[in-house]
Amino acid sequence: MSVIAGIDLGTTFSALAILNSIGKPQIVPNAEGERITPSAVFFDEEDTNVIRVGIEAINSRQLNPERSVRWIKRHMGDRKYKKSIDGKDWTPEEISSLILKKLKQDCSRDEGDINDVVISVPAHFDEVRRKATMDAGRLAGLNVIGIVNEPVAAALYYATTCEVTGRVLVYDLGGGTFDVTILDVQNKDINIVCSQGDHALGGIDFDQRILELFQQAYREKFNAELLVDDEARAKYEDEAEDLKKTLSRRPSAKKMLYGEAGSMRFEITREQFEEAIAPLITRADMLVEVTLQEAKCNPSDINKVLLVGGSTRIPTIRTRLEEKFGKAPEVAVNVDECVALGAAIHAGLTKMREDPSEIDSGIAGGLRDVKLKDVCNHSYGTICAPRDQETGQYVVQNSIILKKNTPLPCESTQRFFTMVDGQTELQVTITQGEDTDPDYVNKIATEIFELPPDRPANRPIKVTYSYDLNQRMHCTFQDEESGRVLEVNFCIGENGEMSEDNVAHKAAEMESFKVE
Amino acid sequence: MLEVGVVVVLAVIWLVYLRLTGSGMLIPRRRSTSGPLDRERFMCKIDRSQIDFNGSRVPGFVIKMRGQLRVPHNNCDTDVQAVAFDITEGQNNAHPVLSILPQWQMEDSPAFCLVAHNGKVPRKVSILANWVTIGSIPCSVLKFPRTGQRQLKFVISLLNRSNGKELLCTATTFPYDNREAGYIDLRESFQKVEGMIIHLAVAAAMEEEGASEKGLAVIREWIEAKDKTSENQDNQNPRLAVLEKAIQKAMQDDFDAEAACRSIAENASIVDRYNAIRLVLRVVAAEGNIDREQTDQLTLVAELLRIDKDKFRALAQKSLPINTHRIEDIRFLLGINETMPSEEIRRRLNDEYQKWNGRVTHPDIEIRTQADRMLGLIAEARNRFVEQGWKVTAAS
Ligand SMILES: Nc1ncnc2c1ncn2[C@@H]1O[C@H](COP(=O)(O)OP(=O)(O)OP(=O)(O)O)[C@@H](O)[C@H]1O
Ligand SMILES: [Mg+2]
Repeated sequence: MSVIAGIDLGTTFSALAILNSIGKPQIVPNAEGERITPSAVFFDEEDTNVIRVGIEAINSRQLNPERSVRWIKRHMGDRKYKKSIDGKDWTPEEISSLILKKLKQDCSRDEGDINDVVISVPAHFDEVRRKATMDAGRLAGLNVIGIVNEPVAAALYYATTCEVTGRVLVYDLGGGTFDVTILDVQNKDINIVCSQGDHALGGIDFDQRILELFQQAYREKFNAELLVDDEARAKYEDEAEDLKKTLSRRPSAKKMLYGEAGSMRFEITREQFEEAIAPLITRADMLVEVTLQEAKCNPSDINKVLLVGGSTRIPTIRTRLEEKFGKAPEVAVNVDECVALGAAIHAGLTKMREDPSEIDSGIAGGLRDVKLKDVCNHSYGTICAPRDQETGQYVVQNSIILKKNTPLPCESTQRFFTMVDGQTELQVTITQGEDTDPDYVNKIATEIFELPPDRPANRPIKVTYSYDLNQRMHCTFQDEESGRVLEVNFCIGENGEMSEDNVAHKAAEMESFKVE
Repeated sequence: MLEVGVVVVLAVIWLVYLRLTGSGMLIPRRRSTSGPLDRERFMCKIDRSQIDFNGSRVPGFVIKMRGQLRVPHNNCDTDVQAVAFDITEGQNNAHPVLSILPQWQMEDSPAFCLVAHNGKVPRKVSILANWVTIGSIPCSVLKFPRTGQRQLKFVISLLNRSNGKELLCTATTFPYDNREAGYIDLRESFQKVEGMIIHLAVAAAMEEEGASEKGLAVIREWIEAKDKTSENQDNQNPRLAVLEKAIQKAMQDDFDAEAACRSIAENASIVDRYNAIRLVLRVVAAEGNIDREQTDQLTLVAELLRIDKDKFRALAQKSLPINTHRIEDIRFLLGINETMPSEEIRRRLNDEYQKWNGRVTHPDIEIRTQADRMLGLIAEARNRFVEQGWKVTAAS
């Protein structure tokens, strides 16, 4: 029968889990026997037939940083990002697909071919990034049946493996992203309350701070630069991460810095490290506070704080959470693996809903009682021109139609009016974001809605947005008088530059690249 | 709500006003008639009474005519036309009365003009023995040049429907107490306000060694944009003259910005107050470095102009993007100050954090960088200005 899998496509590490015959998720180790795989890619100069992914890529990186890619997740959905290798411009989707391909390939060695997969993304990922992630999966030859938010996946795994009841806060601090999610759990009933994320906060930012300390120390001692080239940078980035990890175990750590001007011993205490990352920790603190605020609850209302992500191993993060919530956070599940495991459960649930005849009875039995109620991750709106209450002027504004954190599936309708006599066209813009100022929101689709001619201004237009369980958004604009309707199916995987055909075509092209 | 209307109407009035008084074309010529008996003379009157308008009773002008109608031939089809002037300042200095509704406006201007079909006049000389109503106009539809006691003149003409030629003409004058602000009054106060805004902007552009060229360029640009919308290009640009004067005054340190702000706040519409603060922010933003004195002044100006605090902060954050501007006092950008209790600062910073965090994934790199810098700034501010923020809430 078919193999159902979940993939955690992380900034620094990725992992794959499958559902076993009784619907329990389990991690599938990679070809090197490791349970997680570094999300790194190296284009070998010597052997251009194979692209190295994982630990091999990390090891080769210092030799030739130009031909290596790390942290590609930070660029996901960025249309401007290109990595040029031997005349080919690689997009973030394509590079990510190489990582996914490696996971898929390693899994099929032991467990057979994967059919359906759910890939996890940070909760705060927008439509474009979600779509890019899905495309990456398809480029890798995977049948992506859904996308799940990382903290939701973690919570799914947690709730289905541990006995939990009450309000849980998932604190997911990984390599490149940070999410805080609040959810209510009752046995295997999981209701997501809200999520907040910081796209630019993670372990690699802590590493950068240490790297800055290296540079500063070297400059002070030798009045010279430590990082003279990309090789040196790559090397000391790794050293910085290593030092950071040591500081999670020990109160101080040492490193030798070998530069062109000479070598020196660098020593740092845990306190110094904490001071260096204080602004980042403050950002994390604020994210916790605004999430609590959004959920309209106090720290004391949280029954459990669940840690997810490798960076939660940093001691000060744990102490701070204990200070805030008055109890130690839980590390009930493996912080590196729970997202992939939860994604596999999510894949099972999706399959059960969409295609119940296709699923093994054992798996179906195992997932029978699990119920997940997710929420809409962003606010969606449209651009309109209401009168400002204070000034009375018409101002171009983003008006939110579907509010963030509305339980899925959801639908919401608002009425707008045409502005001028004889208006025959309406430019409709679908936005994502919380701002009323249209300059600050993400315009995810724009279309022209043709209206009947010769009518006075103020004709009503009904705008309805809905969001389904598969994270698919759907919008309709209806001219009430004529009944004319414009439908915008903003479906992940169908919008943007990568059209259906384009993806299929690219997927065929990607097949020719071997990964190892 | 009103203010927008006024601004728009004013721009148009400026035009109309010049055209009417400048050429005098629209003021009908008086004809010497052959002197029929008074009772037979073609004449008009305006009754002031309650009229029906859009389903309700409102005060209005009821325009009537009677007397002898002389037409070129029997059964001549005719129209009747009414226009109105304010002649308080003399016949030679008449100002048009305007209509706010298009159906009672001249084709190419908002000046009041009513045209009604009068029908066929049976004989070359016919007599209307009784008063006939030509039309009823709600008082509120008409706009007069100034407020207070006015002398109005209505001119009624009989027109040949086939060629539009005027056949007869008569007029009546009467006093009217206009309770609303006149359009010239509004324009004058508007000019005054605009002048003060320019002065204020120049003051904002002043640096130790004189006016910042970049700042002045912004003001000139603003003036140019204004000139474009007002189409007043024929005579010497009065706004530029104001600018020159403002620069001189500022150089001599002879300008009381605080008083100017107060006066703008009192006289200007809310839209103009926002225009003023926007311009001042743009002027300040023209230079990349903004020191504490400047931000303090900006805060004061916004306060005096009675700008909503949150809106001002949003404007400032947008006009002075942190990725391109160096701002000495970050509290200014974050809307916090030293007198606020720590807890309030924490709350405000959290709000700012949430706002900018939502923008950090924006597709536009500029906004993304700005958001990232703002988040850094907010974290820095929290570390500096909030004591024990984290644990305090743990207790709450
Ligand atoms: N002992 C430790 N102390 C501090 N940091 C650690 C430790 N172990 C791992 N990390 C950091 O955790 C990060 C990886 O965590 P994780 O695998 O959860 O992230 P990811 O899934 O790759 O990223 P993301 O979820 O943000 O996309 C790395 O930055 C790593 O340096
Ligand atoms: Mg992760």
